[in-house]
Amino acid sequence: MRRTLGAALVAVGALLVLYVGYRYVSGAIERDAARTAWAALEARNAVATASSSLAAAPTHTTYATGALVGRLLIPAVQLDEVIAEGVDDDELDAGPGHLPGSASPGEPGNAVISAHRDRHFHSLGRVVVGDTVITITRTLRTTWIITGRKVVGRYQPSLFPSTEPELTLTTCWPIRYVGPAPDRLILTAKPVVAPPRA
Amino acid sequence: MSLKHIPLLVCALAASTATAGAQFTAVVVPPKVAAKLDTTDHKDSVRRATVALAARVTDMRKWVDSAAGVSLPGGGDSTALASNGTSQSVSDTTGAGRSSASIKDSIARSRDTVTKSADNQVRTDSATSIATVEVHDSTGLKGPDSAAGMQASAGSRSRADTKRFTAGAPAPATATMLPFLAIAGVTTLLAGLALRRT
Repeated sequence: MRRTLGAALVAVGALLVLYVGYRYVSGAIERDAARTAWAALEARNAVATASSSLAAAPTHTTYATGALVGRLLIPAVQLDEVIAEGVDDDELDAGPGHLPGSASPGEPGNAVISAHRDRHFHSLGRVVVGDTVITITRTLRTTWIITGRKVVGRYQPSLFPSTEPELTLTTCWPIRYVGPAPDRLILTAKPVVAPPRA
Repeated sequence: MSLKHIPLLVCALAASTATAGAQFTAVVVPPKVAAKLDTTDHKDSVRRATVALAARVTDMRKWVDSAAGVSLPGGGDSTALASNGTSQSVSDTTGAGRSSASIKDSIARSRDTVTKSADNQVRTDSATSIATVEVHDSTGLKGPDSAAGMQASAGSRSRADTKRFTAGAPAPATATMLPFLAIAGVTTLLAGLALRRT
């Protein structure tokens, strides 16, 4: 009896571990695929830029769900991720997700990017006000400075529109928490305005 | 390798992944940010109510002086006060053609009435203005036509996960059960193995 119960527990435990391992491994594979696809996209974009002058950047770019939005870099914590459109499980497994309906990073409006705390935004808890963030989309490369850092409840309103370019990074909080985290870490950033040349 | 080694191998693989390393940690009690915000709002509300009430009391003194026949520079405050809608009874106690005793009684009554209604007005104004200020601080935009309406819309929003950007939406749900499942799986696995060996 005891051995049977032990065998059942081993089976259940193995299934759970296999499922979690599968999710993490599949996420890593999708993340690599997104990186490769983004590299190819950047290369094509570079060729297009060299061969013809680009039209003026659109004021509001929209993306299909799952499409690559751009790249997110935070040098202070060695974060380098490719952003996909959407915040469902499929997109968040592969990398940070761009919230549909929010502005594209660098364009006027609030661009919201979210990711899981146990994967791509694991280091986001170490980002502090004053750190630099870089976003690269097909048309814009924007350097941001973190201007706000706050922790809010999961249901507390925390996303607001803006007329100026603004970047909001969100993940669950606390970073090291077993089970569904009760709060959200909200980082807001403003673009760095290059000083006029003399 | 025999079959009984497979769970151990799976367990070792799960424990050796870099992402799983972050999950085997103690529960961190989330900071009580909401309570702090509530305290701030309460202090702000009290301060605003005090300021607004002081303004009302100042107007009330002017009105009392004018009702008692004391000439004031820039008269007409009583009319203005009555037309503000703070109390209907104010317009009935202008004091024209009455004895001083009845004027005092009416003034005392009107003071109570006006104080109570002014207090209500102050609270209403205070709540509205705080809501407006929060919106201003968060968005940098002009306030909505009705801050109360915006709060109501935020409150009426269901607790469903944010999948699309809307003003005042909570952050997307990035909470995941994977860390918990990983720990539960490993624990179950180890418990099963222990049972089988005994």
